[in-house]
Amino acid sequence: MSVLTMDGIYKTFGSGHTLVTALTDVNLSVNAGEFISIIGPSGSGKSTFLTIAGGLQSPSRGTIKIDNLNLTKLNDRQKNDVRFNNIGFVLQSSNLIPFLTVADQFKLVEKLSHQSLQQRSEALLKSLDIWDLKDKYPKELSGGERQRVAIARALCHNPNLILADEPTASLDSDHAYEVVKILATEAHKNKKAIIMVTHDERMTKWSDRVYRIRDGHFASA
Amino acid sequence: MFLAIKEMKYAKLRYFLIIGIMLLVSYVVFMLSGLANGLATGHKQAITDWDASTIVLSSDSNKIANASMMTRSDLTRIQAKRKAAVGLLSTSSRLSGHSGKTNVSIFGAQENSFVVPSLIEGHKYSNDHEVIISANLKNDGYSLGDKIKLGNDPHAFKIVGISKSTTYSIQPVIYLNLNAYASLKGTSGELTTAQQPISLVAVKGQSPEATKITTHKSDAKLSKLSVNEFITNLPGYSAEKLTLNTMIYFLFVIVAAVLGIFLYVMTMQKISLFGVLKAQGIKNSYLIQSVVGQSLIVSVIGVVLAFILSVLTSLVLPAAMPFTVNTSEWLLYGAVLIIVSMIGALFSIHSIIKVDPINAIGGE
Repeated sequence: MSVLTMDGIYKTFGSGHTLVTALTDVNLSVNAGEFISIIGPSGSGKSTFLTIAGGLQSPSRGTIKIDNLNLTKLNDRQKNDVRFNNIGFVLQSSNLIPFLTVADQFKLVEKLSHQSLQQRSEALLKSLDIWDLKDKYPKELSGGERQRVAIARALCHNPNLILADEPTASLDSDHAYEVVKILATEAHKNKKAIIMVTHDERMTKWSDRVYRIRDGHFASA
Repeated sequence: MFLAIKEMKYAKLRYFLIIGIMLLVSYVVFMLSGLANGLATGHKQAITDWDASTIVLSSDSNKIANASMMTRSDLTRIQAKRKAAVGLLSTSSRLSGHSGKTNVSIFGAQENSFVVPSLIEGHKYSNDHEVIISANLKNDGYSLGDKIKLGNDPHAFKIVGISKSTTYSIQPVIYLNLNAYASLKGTSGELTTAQQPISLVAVKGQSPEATKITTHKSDAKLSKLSVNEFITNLPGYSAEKLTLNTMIYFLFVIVAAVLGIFLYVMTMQKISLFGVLKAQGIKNSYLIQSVVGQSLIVSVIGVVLAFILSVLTSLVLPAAMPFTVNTSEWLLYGAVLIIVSMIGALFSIHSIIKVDPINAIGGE
């Protein structure tokens, strides 16, 4: 079943002679249980790709569907809800709030989503081997620990789609591999659709599919 | 509120400091309010004690009691059930045999008139050489039975009664009868009783509109005014009140600015965090609520602490300092302080709304 479908996506900025095409005819479908990587140098359009896939900005052309919701037809408020409910973000600089302990990061999501996530977040923390860190603040964690918490945070409200933006950028190789393996396991075991954007070739070996993006053009690797 | 409270617990020092500033500004506001009321009370206490509704003065006085000149015969021109002729004089007083002088406000009035205060000690005066003093003169060593000299009057006056502490023009008050008053004015000898001077007539339970004054051709013109208008025109009363109140109003603006700037700086430091939170679908309204909530918490704690501190301070202030705790005014000012703090937080809302969650992606 397709979780994310992108159909003929174009994104342009500016107009006339300042026109810049950031994405050209992107077609992509990601199913539940799939872990795909998108690789490209900086400036290739991968950030633009991710912001469109995450509903943070609208494409200039084309349609995008998440869990069968047509994002191009939703208003800002509805897109906000989709981001909150249907997508988990794992960001480069970790998406943790500096003044919340690990446990409180989950409590915030719990409060905002009005559902009990206690059991789920406890299971996640244990499976990611960070249960012992639950009373620590982000600054007391190592880079690898922080990204594992960030992954748990992205998963805790059980979204079908995970968007990971350079999740290994600030990590050494061992920790980077570990984080990518966690993402792959989540996709395969818990049937998540996971898209990871990276510039590091070595991180793609656990992916089911790898795409390259260069100057806004998308191609299977 | 979850986010707001957790952040305050995490960054304790910052929020302690801003609560401290809130506390100090609120404390100054309460203290100024206490002083403004203390001074106001010091000016008017003896008048409010009368519980009168209408004051009649000579028209030439321009509503100033000290400048008003009337005669005892004028009392009959005023149609009212309860009316009292009052003479007013500011002079100095000293205990016989002592040289230390105290400034006092002297009221001349018939001993059975309603303006004469009820006593906590002794009895009312029954002749021209007896007086009632207010209890605050006890601080200067005055007590029942003592003889005092007033101004440059050759007579000695005996203290026969003491009323509760009261002031007029921020001076303790002495009551004596109208003959004695005339004598202090230096006019008793050559005048008939009807010609003796008084300053004003106080009327109880009857509005200025309802109070009729008969004026024949040869009579001096009289003006009637409400007690509130009379008090507003007491020398110095309005000016002092306005000065202190203006300081209070400025402090309201300062509170809004200080708290607004603080929260704005805090917001600016969290812009990238807000971007990340918004990317994750957390709504503007929650983030705004969080900042306004922090402002509410900071201001409520600051104001409550300042309130407690002000009450404690009022207990240890020296008696000579005019200071009156007006709880309802403090509550009102406290509420205003809290509201302006919240208004200060509004500066930050625009910046929160402006944060574009796109910036959270790509690490820029």
